[in-house]
Amino acid sequence: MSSVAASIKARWALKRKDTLTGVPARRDENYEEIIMTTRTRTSGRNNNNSNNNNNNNENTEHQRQQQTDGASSYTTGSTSSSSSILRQSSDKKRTKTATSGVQLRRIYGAARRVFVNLPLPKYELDKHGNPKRHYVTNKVRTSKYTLWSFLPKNLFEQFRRAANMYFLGMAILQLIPYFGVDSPALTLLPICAVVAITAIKDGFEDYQRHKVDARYNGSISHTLIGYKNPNYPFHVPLTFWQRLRGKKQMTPSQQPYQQPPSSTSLSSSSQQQPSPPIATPTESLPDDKRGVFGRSLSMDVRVGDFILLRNGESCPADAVLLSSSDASGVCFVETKDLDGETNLKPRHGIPDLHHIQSGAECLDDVHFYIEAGTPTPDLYMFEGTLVLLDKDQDGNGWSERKKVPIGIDNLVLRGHVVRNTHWAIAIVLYTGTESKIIQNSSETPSKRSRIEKQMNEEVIIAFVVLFILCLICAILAGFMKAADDADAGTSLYSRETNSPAFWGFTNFWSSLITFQNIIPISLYVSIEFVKTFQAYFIWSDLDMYDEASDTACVPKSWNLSDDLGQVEYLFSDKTGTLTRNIMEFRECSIGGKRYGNNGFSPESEGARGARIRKEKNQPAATVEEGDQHAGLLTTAATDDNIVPVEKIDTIINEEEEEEEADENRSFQQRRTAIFDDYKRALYSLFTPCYSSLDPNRLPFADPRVFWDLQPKASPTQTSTTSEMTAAAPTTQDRIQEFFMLLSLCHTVVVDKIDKEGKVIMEVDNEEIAGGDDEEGGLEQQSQQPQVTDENNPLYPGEAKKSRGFRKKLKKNLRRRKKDKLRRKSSTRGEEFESIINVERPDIVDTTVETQLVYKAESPDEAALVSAARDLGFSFLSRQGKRLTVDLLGTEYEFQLLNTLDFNSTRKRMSVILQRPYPWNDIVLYCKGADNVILERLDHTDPSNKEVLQQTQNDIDAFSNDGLRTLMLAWKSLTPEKYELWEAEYEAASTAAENRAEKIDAVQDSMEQNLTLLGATGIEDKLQEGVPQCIEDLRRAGIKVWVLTGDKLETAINIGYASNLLDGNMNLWTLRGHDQVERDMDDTMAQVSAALAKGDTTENALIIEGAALTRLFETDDLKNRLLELSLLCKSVLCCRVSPLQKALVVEMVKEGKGAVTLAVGDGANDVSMIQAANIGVGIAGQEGVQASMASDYAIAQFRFLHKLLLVQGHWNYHRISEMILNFFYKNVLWVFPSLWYQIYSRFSGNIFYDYSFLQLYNVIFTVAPVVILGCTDETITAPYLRKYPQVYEVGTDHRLYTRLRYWLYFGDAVWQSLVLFYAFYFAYDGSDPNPDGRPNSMLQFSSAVALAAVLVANLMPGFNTYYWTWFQFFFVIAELLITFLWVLIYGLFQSVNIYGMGYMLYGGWSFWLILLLSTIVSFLPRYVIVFAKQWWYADVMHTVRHVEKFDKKQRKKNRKKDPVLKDGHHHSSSSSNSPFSKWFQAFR
Amino acid sequence: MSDSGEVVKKKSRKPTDGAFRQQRLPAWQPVLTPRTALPTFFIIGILFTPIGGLLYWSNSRVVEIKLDYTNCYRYTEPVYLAKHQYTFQLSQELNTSSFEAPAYHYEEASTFLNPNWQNPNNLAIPQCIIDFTVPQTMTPPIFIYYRLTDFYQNHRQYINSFDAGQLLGDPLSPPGGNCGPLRTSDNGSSIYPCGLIANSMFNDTRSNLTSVNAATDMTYGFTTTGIAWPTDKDKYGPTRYTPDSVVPPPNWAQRYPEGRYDAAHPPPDLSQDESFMVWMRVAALPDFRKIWGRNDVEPLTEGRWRMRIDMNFNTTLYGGQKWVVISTSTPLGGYNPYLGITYMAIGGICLLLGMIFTIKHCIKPRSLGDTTYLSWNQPGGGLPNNKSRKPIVKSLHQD
Repeated sequence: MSSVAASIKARWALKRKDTLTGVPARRDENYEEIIMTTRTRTSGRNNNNSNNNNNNNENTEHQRQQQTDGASSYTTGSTSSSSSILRQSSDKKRTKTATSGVQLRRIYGAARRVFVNLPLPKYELDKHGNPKRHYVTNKVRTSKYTLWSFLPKNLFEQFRRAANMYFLGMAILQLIPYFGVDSPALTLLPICAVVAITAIKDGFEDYQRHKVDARYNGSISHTLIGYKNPNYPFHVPLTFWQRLRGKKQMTPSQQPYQQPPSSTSLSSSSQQQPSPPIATPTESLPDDKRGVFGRSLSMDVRVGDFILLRNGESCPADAVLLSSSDASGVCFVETKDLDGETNLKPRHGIPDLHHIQSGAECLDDVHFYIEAGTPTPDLYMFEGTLVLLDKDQDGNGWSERKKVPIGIDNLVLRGHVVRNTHWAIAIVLYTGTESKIIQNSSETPSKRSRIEKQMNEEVIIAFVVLFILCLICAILAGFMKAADDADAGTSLYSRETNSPAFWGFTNFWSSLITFQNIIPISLYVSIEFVKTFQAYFIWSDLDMYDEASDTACVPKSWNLSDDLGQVEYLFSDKTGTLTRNIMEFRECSIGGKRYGNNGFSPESEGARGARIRKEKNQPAATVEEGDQHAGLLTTAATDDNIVPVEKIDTIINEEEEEEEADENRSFQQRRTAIFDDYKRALYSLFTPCYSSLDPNRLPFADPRVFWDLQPKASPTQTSTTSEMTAAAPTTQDRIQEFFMLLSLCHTVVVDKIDKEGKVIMEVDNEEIAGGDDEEGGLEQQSQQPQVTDENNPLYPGEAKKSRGFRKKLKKNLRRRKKDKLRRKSSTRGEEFESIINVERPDIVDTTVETQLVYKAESPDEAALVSAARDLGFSFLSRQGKRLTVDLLGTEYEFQLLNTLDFNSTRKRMSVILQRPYPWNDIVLYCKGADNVILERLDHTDPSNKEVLQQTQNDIDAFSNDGLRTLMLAWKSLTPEKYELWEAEYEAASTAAENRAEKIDAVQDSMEQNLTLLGATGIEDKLQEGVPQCIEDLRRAGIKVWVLTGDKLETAINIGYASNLLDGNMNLWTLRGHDQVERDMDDTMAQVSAALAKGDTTENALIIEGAALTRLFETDDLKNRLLELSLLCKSVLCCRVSPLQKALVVEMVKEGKGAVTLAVGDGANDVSMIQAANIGVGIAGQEGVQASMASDYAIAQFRFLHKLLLVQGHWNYHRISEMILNFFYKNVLWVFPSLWYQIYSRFSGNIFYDYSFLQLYNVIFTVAPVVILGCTDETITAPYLRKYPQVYEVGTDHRLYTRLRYWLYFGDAVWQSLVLFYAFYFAYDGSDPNPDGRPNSMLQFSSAVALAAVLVANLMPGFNTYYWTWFQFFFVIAELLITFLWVLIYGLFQSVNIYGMGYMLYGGWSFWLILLLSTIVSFLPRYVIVFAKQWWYADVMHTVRHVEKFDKKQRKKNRKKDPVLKDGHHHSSSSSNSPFSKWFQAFR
Repeated sequence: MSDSGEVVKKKSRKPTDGAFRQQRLPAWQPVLTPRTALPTFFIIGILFTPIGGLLYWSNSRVVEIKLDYTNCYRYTEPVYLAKHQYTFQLSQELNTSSFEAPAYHYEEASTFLNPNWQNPNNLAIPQCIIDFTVPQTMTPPIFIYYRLTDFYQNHRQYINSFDAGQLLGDPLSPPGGNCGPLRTSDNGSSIYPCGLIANSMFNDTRSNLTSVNAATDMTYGFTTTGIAWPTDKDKYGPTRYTPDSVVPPPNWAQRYPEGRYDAAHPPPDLSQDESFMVWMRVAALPDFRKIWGRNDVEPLTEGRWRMRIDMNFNTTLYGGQKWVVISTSTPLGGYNPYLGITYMAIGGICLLLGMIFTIKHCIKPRSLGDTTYLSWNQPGGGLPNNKSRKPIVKSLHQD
């Protein structure tokens, strides 16, 4: 196969020469020659070459055309032939004459049969000869609107909301002249404003989506130039407009393909195939571009296209991998975007197509079709068949050569990034919405916050109140009308001739207009605004910014910010969330001897947890800690050594740090001593080449390992004795086997890095390939398919459509070219920059010459291989089946025979290896979970028995320290035995049915009778600050549950380490499947009995997945489980599946009605994240899947502290207070109108001037409420951090309750009464104006309106705990605007309130009554709030008092000691605002 | 598929620092403590009580005479008004019962008291003659009001029943406007001024006061200029209608020959008719008084005075009363003790509250920033069942 490529290269080189010398290349002949030679040279498979040639001679005219196109020349032979090529089952009878044919069954739906280099069978074509089947384009569209559809679609969306509909209805009602509303502009203003603001927001969001779409659609991929995709029609189907304009022009060009549909002549169907696409670009396509990969946009990639994926490139569509730069066709992909795992996964090419090494080969060599089912979202399942076809001997038909099953292993999915592979060629199978990533990217279920749901009920209450008010007014209006009819009233006031009943009816509607404002129109838009702001604050919070990963907290759902303050249950994943998912090899047990527990490495968090558990017998441990904090705080405050609260933290920490520092010093000394020992031992054994000698990088340094390896120092020596020792293995042997296993039994790939952190390339094949030395190419293992910078011209239709994108593409290209030029000068390694990402400086280990970096499927694996490397067993490279390992300084090459992969059911992984001299044998190495390996040990082997007990003890010890354990075992095989098995395995893996089960069985048969080597203990490091964070969360009243897939013991240890479990807790476990019901009842009985007795011992419940499965079977059991778990302070669920995680969350969410938060980092947490009220994704090691599905993406678990206890609390308070204030101000506004009805014959007159009515909610009162919602803080962040228990106001949902709603409602009604009657008494039968001027209704109502606006603006101010200059500014601004509005708007003669400013402001009475009414309005609230907050303060107000006190103290001290002044008050000194001075006055 | 953060690849995605972004803007954090709340109560109390007293005192200096003449048409012979039909508010301590009560009766007259009004239809006009005593000399400015009760000028359809353009003088060209049923007459000619308000205008006319039984005959006159709001005058203009193209509103018809305007009886010039403007400024409440006339110069001496009123406006039709009010004024309008009383009451309440809270604060003091009120440990470990727990007061200063 290499020769093919070589000759093609040579050909190109030759051609280049031609062009240079100006001699026109005799294209056709040359080309054919080459083709012929390549064919004959490469394989005898394709015997149609001669046909090709013949036909060329016969039909040169046609041929030339094809050639220039470069499309499938292979079919030309059939031009004059008349035998069947492909037939469909329905055509069976007619085509029976064909001796050799390919039978195709019919496929349905979205299942597909993709043809490559084959003519489509007739039934796949429509009457124009175009394929019937249409595949979706690869263009992604997540945006909702286009420029044109935006307005109608968005309006439609908006008016689907009930509230908007209501206000639109109200606006229309007001436009009816009957109701005597006279300014239509003002009528429409509020609804227009609201709709416009929402539309702008929607538009902006959609614009962002467009940008993202464009980025995805416009990314560049490489498709094969000159390949005519048979699955698509040659020409782009005409759009309607094109049809209208240019049909005439198009027709001739279509002709070549428009074969008359002929059912009899089979030749015709084949004949149409070779016709070259007429698209103009192809005509100008130079020959040397043929078979070259050209750039095209990701959105233009079509089903059946050949694509070239280069290292670091992302795959544009789901594609079947054909071949790669690797001889075995393996291509490594990073699947981060799909399943969130950062490790590399190997994908395999089609074994029969590995030979494809260039684009040209794609064009000529391969003929196959792929059958695949309906696209599914399952990332781990795919079944398809690739059928290779050969042209028949006579060249007339096709025969099936081979059927190759293809599975998920052969598929490169959209979003996969090619890594560690130079290039790969693949055939596109699913595009666009049919690709797995998009099928998976279901919209996160839209969540609504608790307050929002509750608020909707309150809106309904407001509606009911509105309805009742209107009804009352309508009925009374009817009676009044009847009374007026009886005397002269009607003729005086209305001359209304209709009946009282009708009057009442119409009055209902006019009352509706009057009272419409009870439903706060701007509430929804204000909430959205406020929540946007809150999301912004959360995003920009520096305390939640992770320096290392450069990520801030990203709020994805903006509407949940208030739920953050009410979380009662927190469900956390363990791995990657509580722990770092960084694995460190800590200890091992080899042949019953434990290594690594020598105190070199710092105590693991888990071990510390275990120690603390033992030490801790004091029941009030947390209290003490609390006392310490609080005591310090107060003493700091009362004593004269005043410390700003912000710094108290650091002081506490410093003190702790000092203690720790002492400990550290001695630890460091011990550590250095051990390390020196270790180094000496190491050098005595071998000279390290790859082993790290940086003590800070070594998690494991036990010199005993080397001592025990010592006696027979070199591996060669060992080998001579290997036969002998097989009977009674020595420790040395065991150790050696142990680490050999670690260095060989894995799926790790290696990167070699030099000291600058650049990747060292093995042999640079590409460079040689580029050269014109013909022989040089022969030896090449791999070649690079040619890639041109030119665009793939195969998509002319799209080009027109997306000219904009093309322009962008061109720009992109230009930029890239520049980059490339720049790059050329620098080292080769830089091109692979993406492999080693940003944190390069950390990666480089200066103690080794050539550093080996392992990329593994799971972090444990990398940790194991790295540990082996550091101990002198360095895995160097993997080249196909050859594994190179450096064993204590000598390189060996192992032949990998089989890899029995790891999966979650097998829980083990094995490799079968052919070991070189000096072993010369076949061995099986196996590592896996302890219980799995135990079953497979050879229990007859006495050596096993002896080791087993000790190893198990060690494993228990590892578990107790919170380490993950793996057991290692091996056995050697005789060649005969292996061959026998190999045959079985081969059969199983090619079995047509039950392949997976059969393989399993065969694998299982091999992994038996193993010899135990030992066990490893790997530490899963806790994330930074997790214990403290959990402690604080729990102090805040949040119940933290841990749901993990880990085993019980590990989970318990992490529980202790992370403060979830206390030493004095009762632990209750529910495990197993059968007895769990009884166990649960027992536990329940005991726990409740203890609680009833007043026992305050806390309980913790630990449930295993199996038990959960049983308990979730019936609702009754579930309820009992819930009941039990609610009695426990901590709940740990281990061995749970992702689905169970979601079920547990749902159980609590629905059963308890509590606000739940789920936090996780991996793809397995997605279900839980989506099930919980709030899903938090940790954007860390395991990629983005979880954070994609989440509502908040954070980088570290400990950020939850700030997110919940500070931001969440604030947001909860803000939203609650804002909504209550909104309702309040609207009720306050509406009720005076109601009181006025009493004095106006219930005639439904609009009390306020129309401008007030419409602007009240939109302008006059909106800002302070919104500012309250945006910036208010009950307590500042340092104090919230100090006193997490303030959070309980949220978990108890105390701030937004129905009671508070009614209190605010009641307060509003009271204030409305005050405002109304304060003015009423001045106007009733009297005249408040000096100079005898007549009062008027508008004067009265304007006075009330102004008073209402004043009170409604002061009220949010009164409820504001944290008056920033915003609040001052906006309260004052709103009042100014309103008062000036009366004055200025009243200057226009045509308005109703003409001159009102003079009338109101000119007299004393208005101001006096205004003052009076304001004071009286607030008096009850002021009194109650004062009494409540002072004498009956809840935790929140107590902390506010504490804060106030500290502030005062600080101020006092500043006065005393002005030197301190600058340093301490960072908040005021840091502000450069001109207001800051002014604010000093308020502090 | 991606978050927007990826769109723009910056060098660092670190959020910017800043007091606003990090939510630590300097701020005033009001906390209601006795040190802030108690002074508030006292300040309000100390401020409001004297203000109330001042208001009450200034109000009590108003002299006001109110007479209900609704039922005047019933009596052809003078009768004394019943107690509830008149009130006196005096600034001096005088025994009102010692004065002669007001008396009224009516006579038929053939001309209106308003000299501008003619009587082309020769109606018999019932003229109420009211005699009343002014117990103390009133100092100018003195205002005379009419007061109507149970007249709903604020009825929804009434309020808007006028045409602003027409009042400004523009002919009612488009058949629009708000005049509703009173836009045109039955025969199609426009009504001027149209609408319910104008139609129902209070059309009793009054004479000047003449002294009764005084040594010398005195008259005391009120002028009707300067009674409307200056701004209201801008809303009215001389009409451009020709007299015969429009008809008066139904209630005005009797004053015009055959209920029509003609050259001899032209439509009124509204821009000069301040009484009309006053009427058009619809009252806030059904019990209202509107200025009828004023005298800014002469004091009204004590003694018995007589006043004649044409009884054109029939309040009995809708069950209301009509009063005539003669009053002096304060900057706060006419006599209305409510504001002063309320101020004093609120001041008192605040003082009382301040006192109560002070006592409470003394009895049960609490110090600011005392963390003993914080319960660190939630009994039961924050289990959901103990929401109604009592806070455990646990001293944190155990040392």
